[in-house]
Amino acid sequence: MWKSTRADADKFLSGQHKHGDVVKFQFKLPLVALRASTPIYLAIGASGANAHAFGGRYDLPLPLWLNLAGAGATVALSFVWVARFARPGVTPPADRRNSDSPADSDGQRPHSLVAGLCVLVFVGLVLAGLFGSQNDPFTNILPVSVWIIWWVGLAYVSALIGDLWHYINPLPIIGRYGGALWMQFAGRRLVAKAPIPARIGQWPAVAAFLLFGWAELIWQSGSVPRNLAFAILAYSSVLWIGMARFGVAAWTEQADCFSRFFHMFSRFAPFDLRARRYRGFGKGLLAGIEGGRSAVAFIMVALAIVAFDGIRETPLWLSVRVGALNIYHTGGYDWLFSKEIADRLIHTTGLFSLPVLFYAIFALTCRLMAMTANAALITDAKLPGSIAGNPSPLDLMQRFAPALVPIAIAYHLAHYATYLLIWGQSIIPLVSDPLGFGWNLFGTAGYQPDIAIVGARFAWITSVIAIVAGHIAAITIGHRVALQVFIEPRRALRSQLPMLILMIAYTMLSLWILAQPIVEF
Amino acid sequence: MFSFAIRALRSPLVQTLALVAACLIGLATVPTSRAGEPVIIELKIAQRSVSGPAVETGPGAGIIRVTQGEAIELRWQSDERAVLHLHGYNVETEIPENGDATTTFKARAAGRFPIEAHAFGHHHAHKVLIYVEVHPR
Repeated sequence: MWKSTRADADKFLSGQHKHGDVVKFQFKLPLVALRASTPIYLAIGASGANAHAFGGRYDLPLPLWLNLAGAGATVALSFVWVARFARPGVTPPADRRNSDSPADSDGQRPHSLVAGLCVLVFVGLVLAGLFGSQNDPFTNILPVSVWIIWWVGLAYVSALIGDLWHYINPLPIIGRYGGALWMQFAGRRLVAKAPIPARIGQWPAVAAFLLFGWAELIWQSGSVPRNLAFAILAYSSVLWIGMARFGVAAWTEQADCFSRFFHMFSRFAPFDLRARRYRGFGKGLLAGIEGGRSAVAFIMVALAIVAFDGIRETPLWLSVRVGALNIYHTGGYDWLFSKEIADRLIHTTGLFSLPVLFYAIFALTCRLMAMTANAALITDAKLPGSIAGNPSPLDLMQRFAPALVPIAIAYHLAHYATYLLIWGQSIIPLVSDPLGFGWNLFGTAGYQPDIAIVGARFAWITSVIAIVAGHIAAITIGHRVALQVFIEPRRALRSQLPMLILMIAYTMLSLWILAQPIVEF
Repeated sequence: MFSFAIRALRSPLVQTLALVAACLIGLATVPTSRAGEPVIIELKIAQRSVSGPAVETGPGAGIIRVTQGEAIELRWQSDERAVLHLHGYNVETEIPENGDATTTFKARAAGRFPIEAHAFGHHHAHKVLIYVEVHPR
């Protein structure tokens, strides 16, 4: 099967890049002459379907035995766990306490010193992106800070410690200071304050996160510092305009997809930093979400983008691309777009349809959940009806969407562990020479990242443990939520059958992706 | 503030995780270096694709498998000038037209590393020719 794919891939790739001279991201900078002679604008041009926007992952695929062990453990533990819930008396008591601080609470505002520092770092990074070296993303501090330290690293902090981004997010800080300054000088608000119209919901965050996913996974020049700086400024400006109209806290909470994303991950974390208390892993996910379809859609988009990041590097996706390109070619549509553009359209279609698919599957699961729970009610005359009545599928979606988050977190951690440990080191030389001007502020400019920092076995085993643990956490949370929703233990247990099937399938998807060799072009 | 940390440390989940992490770090840091004869792999580039006795066909591009700790010599022959880059290890090799060249590296880090052609003839290129899979011992 792969033979033909490979031949096709070669055919389609051999014609590539004849004109698309792109600066290649060299880590060790051996090609000084090439780098010096390659103008910046070439990097901004089309580069064809290339590897990850930034750096590359060198993970070996999970070996078969470990993949099977992980899959076996997932299924076996699922049943063991469910059997544990089914035993009378051992059923954990319903946890009715809402264990997540309300997302829109302003929480503790950062100390003005911390706030100032955050703004300083933000401004410094954007300036570095605008005016620092553009030849190679690894000679400018902005791309590494954004794509590796912030996007990957902060997701780890959010999931394993707490919602740190809520404290250090520079955008609302700047919004607040800006608003205060304007009040000082003009004596009134920039625009009259209005409540956010209900129909807007979280759709701005959904759209922004889809765009972000596109920028991360498909936009080829997202690692060119200047482009990245402009993208950050554009995003921030849109957010600031909304803040001026709708209020800093309310708009950040509802429309800033990164606040939403990191908050979503942090609900798994053991510390509730907003309330400054320890609550234990996963407790924050027991509370449902509010905001209707758009809020559910946001979670599905986040889960789908995390998954698509892995899927797009699998051989299966490569053969889909090659197949689609062949159809494009043989169908005589060549005159429409170049091959590179067509390939990116295929990628974009994949990226944008996966969230729709996730949403549809989840909606179906919740419908089935309502049916199985109600079937329990009908067949067993002894059962009392739920106090809350029969929740609608949308209610169920809002209650149970957070239960899927641990699986996404586990996959995210497994997928990025080695990447973060290897490429995260590149911040060490960059703090000494943030603009690529040849400085050596702290004497670390010559540091070379060590690619042998983690053993392959270590990476494999931790990935599988993380994925199985995430799955167990998801089942446990799902069951606890079911007890809150359906009250009666047996009804709660039956309601979770469709959810269990969904969770097993989702975990298997994670394991499958990790067992695929990474193919990049 | 400290009571947070203390309560977290008392949680059995945190303790289990810490224990598992410690065991795994111990396992992973077992030295894997091995001295010996270099492993020689013959590779031929014809019409911009690679063949050789050690090449396995894989999805996308072929694969050569080596074992962590080995000293590797990739002996290239090519029908046109090519500039190759072994990612991760960052080794650059230039092969002249109808000539040969050798890529030498010690496979100290496990992983799946692409070898990419950055140039064919006098044109820039970005084509993954083959993957080197360094497997742990």
